[in-house]
Amino acid sequence: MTPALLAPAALGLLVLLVGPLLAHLARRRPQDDVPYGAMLLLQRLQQLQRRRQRLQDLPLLILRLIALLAVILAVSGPELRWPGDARDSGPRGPVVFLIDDSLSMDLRPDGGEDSLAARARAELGRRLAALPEGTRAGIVSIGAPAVALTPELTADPGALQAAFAQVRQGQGATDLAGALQLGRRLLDGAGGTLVVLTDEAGPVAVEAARAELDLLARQEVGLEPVVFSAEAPANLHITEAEYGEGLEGGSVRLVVVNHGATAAEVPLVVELPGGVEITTFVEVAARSSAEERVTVPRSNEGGVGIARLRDPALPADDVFAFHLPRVGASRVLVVDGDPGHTAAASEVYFLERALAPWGPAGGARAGVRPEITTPVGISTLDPAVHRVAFLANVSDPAPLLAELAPFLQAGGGLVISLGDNVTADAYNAALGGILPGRLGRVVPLGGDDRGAPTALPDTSLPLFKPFSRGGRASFGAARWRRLFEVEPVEGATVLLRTEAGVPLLLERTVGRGRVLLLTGTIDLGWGDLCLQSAFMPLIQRLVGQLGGQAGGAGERLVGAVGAPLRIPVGGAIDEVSVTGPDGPVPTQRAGDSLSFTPAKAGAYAVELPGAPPLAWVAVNTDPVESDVQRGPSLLAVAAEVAPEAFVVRLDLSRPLLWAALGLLLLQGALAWWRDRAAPAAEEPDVRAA
Amino acid sequence: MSLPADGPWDPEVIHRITTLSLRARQQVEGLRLGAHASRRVTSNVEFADYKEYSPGDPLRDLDWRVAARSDRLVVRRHRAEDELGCLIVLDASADLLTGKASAWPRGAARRPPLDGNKWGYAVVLAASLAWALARRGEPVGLQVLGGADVRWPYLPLRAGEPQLARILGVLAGCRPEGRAELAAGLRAVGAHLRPRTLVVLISDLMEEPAAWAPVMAGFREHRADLRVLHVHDPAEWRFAMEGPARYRSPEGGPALPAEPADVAAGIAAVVEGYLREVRAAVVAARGLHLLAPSDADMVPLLGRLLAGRT
Repeated sequence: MTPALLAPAALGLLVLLVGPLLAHLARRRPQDDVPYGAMLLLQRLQQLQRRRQRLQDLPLLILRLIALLAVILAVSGPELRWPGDARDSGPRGPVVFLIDDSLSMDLRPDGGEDSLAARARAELGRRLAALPEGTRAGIVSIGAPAVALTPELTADPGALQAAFAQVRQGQGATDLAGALQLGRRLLDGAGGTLVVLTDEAGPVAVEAARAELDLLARQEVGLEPVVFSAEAPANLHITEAEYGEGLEGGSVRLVVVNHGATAAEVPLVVELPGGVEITTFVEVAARSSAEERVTVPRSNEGGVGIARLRDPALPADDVFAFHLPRVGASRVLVVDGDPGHTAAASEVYFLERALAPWGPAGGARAGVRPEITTPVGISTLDPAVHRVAFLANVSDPAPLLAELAPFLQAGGGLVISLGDNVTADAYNAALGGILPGRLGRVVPLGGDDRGAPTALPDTSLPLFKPFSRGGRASFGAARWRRLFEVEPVEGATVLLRTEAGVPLLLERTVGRGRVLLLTGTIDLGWGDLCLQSAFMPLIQRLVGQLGGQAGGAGERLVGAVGAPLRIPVGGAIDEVSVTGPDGPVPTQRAGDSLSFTPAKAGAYAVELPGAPPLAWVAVNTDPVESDVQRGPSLLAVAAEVAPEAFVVRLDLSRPLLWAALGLLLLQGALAWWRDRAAPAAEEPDVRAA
Repeated sequence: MSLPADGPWDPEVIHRITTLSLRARQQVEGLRLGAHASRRVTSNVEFADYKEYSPGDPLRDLDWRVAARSDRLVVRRHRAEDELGCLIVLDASADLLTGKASAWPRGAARRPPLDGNKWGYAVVLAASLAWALARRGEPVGLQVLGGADVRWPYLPLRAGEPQLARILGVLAGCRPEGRAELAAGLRAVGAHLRPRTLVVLISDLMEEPAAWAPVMAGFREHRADLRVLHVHDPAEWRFAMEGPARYRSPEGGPALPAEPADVAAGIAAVVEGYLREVRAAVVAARGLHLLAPSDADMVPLLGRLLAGRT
């Protein structure tokens, strides 16, 4: 609450306060000296009178001063201001109702049936019914993307009821800024009021609308928030679900957040593609998060998994979709172009050790047992069986292309390592269409026998991500005495280099498959990477990544409820369809791309009839919407943005004048009482005594 | 030969002595002389009262008539008609100057007139008392507190005409000035006070009772018969003054501005409180307090004083 003066210059009248003071001080100061023989009595009397004067004259003086002060203040136009509801200050007129149909409005307080959105809808219905006849009004939904349910302001009750009927609970984010903008445009500079029926949940939505609130204030549009909220909002939801490391099988890590004020334990069901369901319980402390892991079977189809909580507070955000690579049965075919006589000169030896470290005796932990063949045996390569193929120092790749091309088109992974048998011309000629780079000459590296060290890998790349937790330095110990020079082709990525910058590992997407090119040898021929501790996890990661995607969808996408998705699908666009959690989803075409807007969280498959899905889309709700705790107040933020527009003023002039009048009357009564009471004291009969 | 203007031969003093004598004579003639009695209770002449007999009482004082009728032994007690020694203590402080004639036409007169002010009233009162007692042959003394031109501040008890002349001379010659310093003055009186002396204090008592009351209470030990004539101007006590002014005491001290209407409204209660204190102090000394308004008839007052009645 802030006091203010409209005419502060009037405070100059405060000088007038000196008047009563002087009058009291200079009141009848006699100058004549008169001898008096009973001064003892006079002294005693004046002592008494001084006490009485303190009680009588001082209150009179104070009352007069306060009265005068009140008059002066009244003249100076005082008023009190405080941030308040703009409904009184904003001009009346047309009304636009902004109704929040975002996900958070689906909150069921105390687990009841009635959601906040239902209450808001009922309130909107009441307000529409109570609109004075002829009042122009409009309705805008706030859930992203905000939509004007009435194209323009209308006074037709039928049109308003039709728009009202379109209000439904959504699962999208809150687009308050967009809704305010639409509301402002509907008003079109005609003033009026925006009535916002919302839950003000989460920390973002209101804050994001600051600019729009500023514009509303400038256009003198009134703002009346009608807030719906639970007494103790509570909600649990899944914020993360990620398939973890593991060549054959692995685990899904899930993070559950509790936005409530009490701890909760709820069942958590993970549905894997193929129908496997894994149930567990998760316990989350109040306003905290908890991590839970579920183990995925050793063999499972790739696709989109669904993690599902059982939380009645906000059911719509209890589903979380996540991508799951194809797990298990990672068939690897190694085409050995240079069977060595010793282990040190054998790529197969090192690959076998890296992929199945425990050997045949490993049992369930045996890992991947690669099939070994010669270039002649490439015909055994089957996209339905094999997921990864290694070409290890093959001298003539030309006969292999016929098998490799369809393998890659079907989504297989190919790793090519070079060596003494390889000639650049032969490779460039035969495999130029799939190689990540054009091979040059073999260059010696380093000035001595130790060779050139490998640069540390970028752990932000998916292949090297596991090394961020440790083992990255081991790459620096790997040295290369020779490497093929290579010139990366367009679209290729250099994943690893030597410290001198010579490309060492390159990647390229071919069809739905991928090709990785190692410009050195896997064995000890040109370098010693195979002796480093990073070698085994690198090969396992490489096979796991390539194999996990092999046979899966070409694209793995993520989306958000209410956010349009655009997916390039190529020439067969007419046949492509999108299937969501509730069946086929309406799509729109734009050139070679297909677009659709998911309305619900879950797995969406972009498919061609009779073929594996072109793309998997994991669609989730906006996590901000799951935070059902009350965020910043719309009115408070609006007042902060444009304080002048949201200030309640109380004019104090009239109350002050009345107060001054009252004080003057009071001091008059007090003075009268004093004058009347004073002579009442009895005169002593000193003679009689 | 011209007499000195300052001394017993001052013509003004001589004139005042004559005037005082006349005034005193007039006042005393209004009294029935010899009516005042001693406070001493003896078995001498005049019957006073009865008391229960107690062993040791003279048997000749037993009232046989009463004993015969009522079987009660009572002793008759008598009042002695005694020679009365009286010390007049006169307050000559400057405050006594005030009153209607406080601003007397100064001219050659250095002393205030005997009418229209407290001082005149007090002096005539003292002179009358001295006259009355001296003419009966009783010893009279005078103690003047404060004042100026006081030839003898203290005249011890003496009988006879010369003593009366000395007293009248002192009364006629002195004039009020300064403070009486009652506490110190009464202490001085007590120092040479004989037992059973009648002490008549003529004063306006315009000093805080708390200062002099303890000294006055000491008179009990001297078995003195204290009688206080409280001289005052009733107009002053009502504060019947004219218009607002700065009022100051002739004894000095700061002047106090006052509005008569304001003061008059509240002074009665103050006077009442003040008199309560004075009476309490006098009673504590087993004395008699008599108000002596300066505009009142002096004869009844003298009668009450000598009769020991309030």
